[in-house]
Amino acid sequence: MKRYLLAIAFWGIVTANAVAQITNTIYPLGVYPKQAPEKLERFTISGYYRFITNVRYLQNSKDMLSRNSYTEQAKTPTHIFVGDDAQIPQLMLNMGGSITPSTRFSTDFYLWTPMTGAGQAENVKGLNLGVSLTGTHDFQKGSLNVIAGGINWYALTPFTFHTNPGFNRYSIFERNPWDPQTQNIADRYNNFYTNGALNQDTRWGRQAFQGIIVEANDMPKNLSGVIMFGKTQLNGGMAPLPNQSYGGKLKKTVGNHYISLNTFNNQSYSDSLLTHGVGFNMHTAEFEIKKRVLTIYGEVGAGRYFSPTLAKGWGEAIDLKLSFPKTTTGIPLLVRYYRISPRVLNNSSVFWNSSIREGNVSSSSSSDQLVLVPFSSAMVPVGQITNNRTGIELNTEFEIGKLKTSIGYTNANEIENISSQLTYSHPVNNLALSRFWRWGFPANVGPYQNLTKVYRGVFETVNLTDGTPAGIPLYKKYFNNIEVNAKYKTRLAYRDLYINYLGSYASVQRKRSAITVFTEDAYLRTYYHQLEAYYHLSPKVVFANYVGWERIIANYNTTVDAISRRPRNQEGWGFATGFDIEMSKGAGLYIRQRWMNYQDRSFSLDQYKGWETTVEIKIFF
Amino acid sequence: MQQSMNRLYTLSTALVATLFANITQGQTGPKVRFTGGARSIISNADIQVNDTIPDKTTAKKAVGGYALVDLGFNISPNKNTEILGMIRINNKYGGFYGAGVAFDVRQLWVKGIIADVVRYQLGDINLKQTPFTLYNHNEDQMISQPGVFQLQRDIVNYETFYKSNTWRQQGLSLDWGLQFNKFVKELNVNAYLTRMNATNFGNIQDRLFGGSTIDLMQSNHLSIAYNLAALFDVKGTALDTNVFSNIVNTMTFRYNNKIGKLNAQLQGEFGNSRYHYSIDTTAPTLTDFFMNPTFTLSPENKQWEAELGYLNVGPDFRSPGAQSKRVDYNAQPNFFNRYKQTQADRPLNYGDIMNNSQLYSTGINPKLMAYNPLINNVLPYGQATFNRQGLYLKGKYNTQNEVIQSEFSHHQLKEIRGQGTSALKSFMMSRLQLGANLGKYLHWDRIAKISASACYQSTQRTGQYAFESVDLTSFQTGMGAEFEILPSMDLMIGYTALQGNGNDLVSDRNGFTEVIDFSKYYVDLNQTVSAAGIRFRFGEKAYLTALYQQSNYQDKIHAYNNYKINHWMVIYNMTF
Repeated sequence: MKRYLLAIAFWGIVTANAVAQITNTIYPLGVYPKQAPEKLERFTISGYYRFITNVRYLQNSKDMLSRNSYTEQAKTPTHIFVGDDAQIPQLMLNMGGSITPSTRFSTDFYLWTPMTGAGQAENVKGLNLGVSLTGTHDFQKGSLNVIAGGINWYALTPFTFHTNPGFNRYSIFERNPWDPQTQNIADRYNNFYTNGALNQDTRWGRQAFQGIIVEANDMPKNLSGVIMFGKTQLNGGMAPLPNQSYGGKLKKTVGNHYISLNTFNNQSYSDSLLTHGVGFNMHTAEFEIKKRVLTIYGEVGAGRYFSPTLAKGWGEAIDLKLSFPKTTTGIPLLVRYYRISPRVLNNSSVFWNSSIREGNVSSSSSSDQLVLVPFSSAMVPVGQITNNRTGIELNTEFEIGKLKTSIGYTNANEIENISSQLTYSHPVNNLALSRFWRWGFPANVGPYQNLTKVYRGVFETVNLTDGTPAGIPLYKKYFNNIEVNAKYKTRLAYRDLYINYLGSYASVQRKRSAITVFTEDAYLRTYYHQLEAYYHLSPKVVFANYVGWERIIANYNTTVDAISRRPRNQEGWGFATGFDIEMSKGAGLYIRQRWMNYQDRSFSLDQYKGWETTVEIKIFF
Repeated sequence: MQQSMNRLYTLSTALVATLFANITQGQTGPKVRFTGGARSIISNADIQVNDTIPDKTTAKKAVGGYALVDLGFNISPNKNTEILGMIRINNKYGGFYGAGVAFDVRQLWVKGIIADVVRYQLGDINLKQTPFTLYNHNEDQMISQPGVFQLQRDIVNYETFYKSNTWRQQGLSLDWGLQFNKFVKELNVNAYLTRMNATNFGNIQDRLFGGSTIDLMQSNHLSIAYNLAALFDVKGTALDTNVFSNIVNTMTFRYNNKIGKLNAQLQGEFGNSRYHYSIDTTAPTLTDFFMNPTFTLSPENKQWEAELGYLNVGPDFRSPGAQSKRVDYNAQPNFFNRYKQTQADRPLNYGDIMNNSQLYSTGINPKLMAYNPLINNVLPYGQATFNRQGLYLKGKYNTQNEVIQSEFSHHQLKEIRGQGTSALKSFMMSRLQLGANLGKYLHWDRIAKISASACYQSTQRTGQYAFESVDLTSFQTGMGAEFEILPSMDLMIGYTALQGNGNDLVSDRNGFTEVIDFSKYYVDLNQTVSAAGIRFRFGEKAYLTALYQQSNYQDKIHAYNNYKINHWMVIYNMTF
């Protein structure tokens, strides 16, 4: 028996062929799946590393930082902060893959180390814009483009879904988190001089949208369209409440002209039982007619806000622009007329809401302010518009030799006297001021609880006192603003020198005026001057300099200080210098040193003096 | 001796050459590749209830959704090894700038070949053996779903790793085989060991699930196999010395031959199980056996197939790997889980089962799970349902050009042991599925399909006493169509219904699966789900669809439970 078994074993060994493969069994053996999955056609990773640190010294911070959660900071004059509380992390990865040449997914992923010494315990990871899926499908007559998933920056039309891109009249001394690296370290300043604009992030002029966007392009009869459904920042939130935004556009192109019908709507609920539904509707027609002598652009429509407690009905929204080329008027000229009813509200459009206070409620549960734009009657830059306002704007630009000048003028007034408050900004030390209150966007901070932080800025609210005892204003307000942006390029010691001047002279008063009112007839006068100089010191170094002066004066029809019995009389200075250094290809070092001095001669607690040093390293890959 | 050595040398060389040719994974191409999927879903739903009391406590509308990407890093460090690590990034709908983000590890495994002979996979693995040892039955989907519902089921299957009736486990699997020149053709062996739960060092032992299959293929005609599936506690891993084991041993066989021009196959499985606690005197020891022979006929061209089978599964047969269910009927729906003024638990409906992956199990359950008598009362635990005996007939028929495809089955079963009575329940289940490919029939180059299916079940018992009387019937139907109205743009419609009425006595079981009581089950229920949608196909791997679905729950006995849900969804799905 033993011999017999040995023979079988020997036979098994010499005749067997071991294989790592299972075939033809009664039931399939082994693990599944049996086929290797397909792989991605293409996968890419790009992104940037951005280190930024900020050291600030304030001689007297106690009064400025007197709000509850900030009183700890008020105890010491010097603060060190590593990172950027403006939601931009240190390491940002953009990962994406192509499943087919026209179908793609992407996601970002960030890492951030606050460098407080706590190490791993405080490190942060997350998504910024989130997971996004895109795809394009070509049909016989047209193509379909789909964008779905996380945050996508999108724009429909200015009145429906858009942000105000402005007229490029802004200071470029302080860098934005999204500012790109340029091939040459001085390209940033050269581009601004040459084109009047920096290379902007994808979000410029667009709003954040999460949901699904379907575009149909190149359809028959020169039609194209968009349908969008999802959430905006202002009606976001992950609760199962059906807070939704939806809209679309149908556009017909005729040669160089086009006309489109557009809509954007929002429905939100402020209670879990969905009994208190609020929202807005906006329907417009947009058109552009291009002729040799001028271009006519317009958007005309109607909108409304609705809620169980407030339903004022529909109101008009009109924006007309006539653009004259140089050949027609000698210098290019843009003439604009706009009128937006106080009943119209759309927090996702270019105009701010200044008339419907409850319209600024979102589904956010944050105790901070819920909408990052000023409510009330805002003194706005040329190009920015609000509801409950009508007015005209003139914009032009011209060159005299190497001097390039851009001038803006606005003359506007409220349609109804609704608000007894004004808001205005402090552009000279705006970014530094916004860093006084880090994390979140607190409202009513400062020694007199009249400052509100927005994204990378601060605005101040002043109350008018010439209304009824109940606070209802007796007069409509009239706004004037003149802006000048002059850019000059020259050579100094064989190197490029760029000099920029930005000036703004604005007033708000009870009566209409042709130009800015420079007397105490104005409720408020604001004069801002900002002078910058950028010297291309060496191929990899730019020497940057800045001087800013702001002057804000209110009259006695505004709130006066309890002690001095005088209205606002504010003056602020900012001196800054710094270097842009190209460390290597795609890597830049940016140093800024700013000295600040601000004082309100009437409201004695409203003052700050100190300096701020910022060091930023940005590396793209 | 010299001859044997030469032969051994020749075989060894052939072996090495063969093995190089047999290695299929990670040989050529880049070291790291990417695989996975991405999906975006937005859904809106509203509910209408039929309650006389006005509802002021629950919301009637809800939205939800997410965008996720599963990114797998497929790494081949060498030609014999492959590693997959897959992460999931999930961004909840409405979460801006990082809110509502979750990161998970979706799966991680390594696979390869040891010494060019043994294939292994370690980590997250998908396993399957036989219908009585380890098998992921889909017993709650009695009828095939039209395409408009299948989209949602595909997502559920992806989320739960349901593929090819496998169960996802965590452990190790090995397989290898031997090929012979004489007398026997192949011997294939698979062995696996997975972990069910870890010890708590107190009263819960480390519990493992392991098994093996040894399959001997004598020739192209005859194969036999031995299968083992064992669920057991590892003694000494906890303070409690009471260890549990559930061992299942089976034999499978297959014999093929020709009868005239027809292919005939006699196949079957038989075996036993033992369910046992080592020390607990209150726990029963359950042992029983089963047998399931089948005889199948089909022509060479496979145009039709007929199968006759006999099933006999003892009342104490326990096999967790084969009897675990997919759907957990005690789970909550993922929206409107409470409704009406009374905040009552909303009963699951057919629509929930179709699209809610959270109702589904992702692994074997050692305990006997609850089932829904209305959905499947005949074989609620799949082919391995205990206490069943009887005959069944299955068949398929496709027209020559595959324009028409059909399947049918008929089960005529009865209990082996009475439940609380000596009278036995009898079960009857008939199913029919039809599909027509109109596009093929009309020689269109576009998709045009219609489908219909039905399943009728009946449970009967008569006896001397009134309590013995059982009469429960259910009828499931489904129909649907897909039409490609524009290139790559499909219109999809579908309807499915579940109607049931009657009564049954459902066994209440303790933790040892023993019957301890019976619950009366009365039902007169009508559930329907209708859906319509448009789908854009972006190639083979991606699609965008907008769906509308209405689910109707009508309880004629408790009309106050009735409700209707309208559900809108936009789904953008990619796999890669």
